Amino acid sequence: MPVARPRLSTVSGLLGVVLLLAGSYLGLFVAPPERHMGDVVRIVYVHVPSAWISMLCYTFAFGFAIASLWTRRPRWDHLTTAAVEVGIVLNVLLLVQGMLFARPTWGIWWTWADVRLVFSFLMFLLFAGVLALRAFVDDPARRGTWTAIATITAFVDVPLVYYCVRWWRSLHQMQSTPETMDAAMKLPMRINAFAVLFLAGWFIARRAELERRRQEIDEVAEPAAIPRAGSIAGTGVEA
Amino acid sequence: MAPEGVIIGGWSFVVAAYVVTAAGLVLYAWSLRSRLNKIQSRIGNHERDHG
Repeated sequence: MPVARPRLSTVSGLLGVVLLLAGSYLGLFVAPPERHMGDVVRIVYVHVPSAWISMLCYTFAFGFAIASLWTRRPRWDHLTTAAVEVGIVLNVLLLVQGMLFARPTWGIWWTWADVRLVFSFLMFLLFAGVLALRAFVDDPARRGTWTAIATITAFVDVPLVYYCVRWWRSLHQMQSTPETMDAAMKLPMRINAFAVLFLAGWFIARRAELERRRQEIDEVAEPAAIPRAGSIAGTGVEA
Repeated sequence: MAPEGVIIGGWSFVVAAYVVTAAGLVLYAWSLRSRLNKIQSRIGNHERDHG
């Protein structure tokens, strides 16, 4: 009897879950409290990995969008959409975690006067706009082109989010380096970063598969569909 | 007495951050699974109806 081999994305997802459990255990119960922030610092072990991998997903989306425009293959469009959506999920998490970190450390949940916060929120809005735009375009080729162009445009904000704390005055601290962190703090941070990376890889693979199947069924079902007013059925070409 | 400038407590915020993270990831995984199942059943229905 043939034995089904687990797919790479499933292995990635399982690895992500195991690593997230291990990293969170270390972050919550083993890592020491910080000198000034005390136990509240434990939030960074989920906040920073969410931020890193969210920006990484958007960077992947940027690369996929260029490949989509270059090759016009649907596969790149599916991957662009998947990476944007997973980036948005992590972006929302990083905003909520950030507010939960800001309240006890800064005394406020949110401020519009801080560049890092505003650019992070703008990053969410821009990429959410990509998915909203996509929902309005029926023709797959045109949808792929618009998604790619919107993704490339939205990506302009990603380097701003990363570098704004160096370029402008901000309440948000600058990026830490391995040299500025205690070894006991580095470990949960790194484990959780890889955990979120593996989970994101799994999510992107599944989301791209969903998009591929959606397009397949649309293509099969389209000849039977009633043509929209002013368009030639099945072509997406306006009459 | 705690030294000045040190945050004491805050565990409720820590727990909330981890719960939100876990809930967000689980909900997204569930949403993906549910959407994939839905599209799979659409494919199944279409194949049954049109051979």
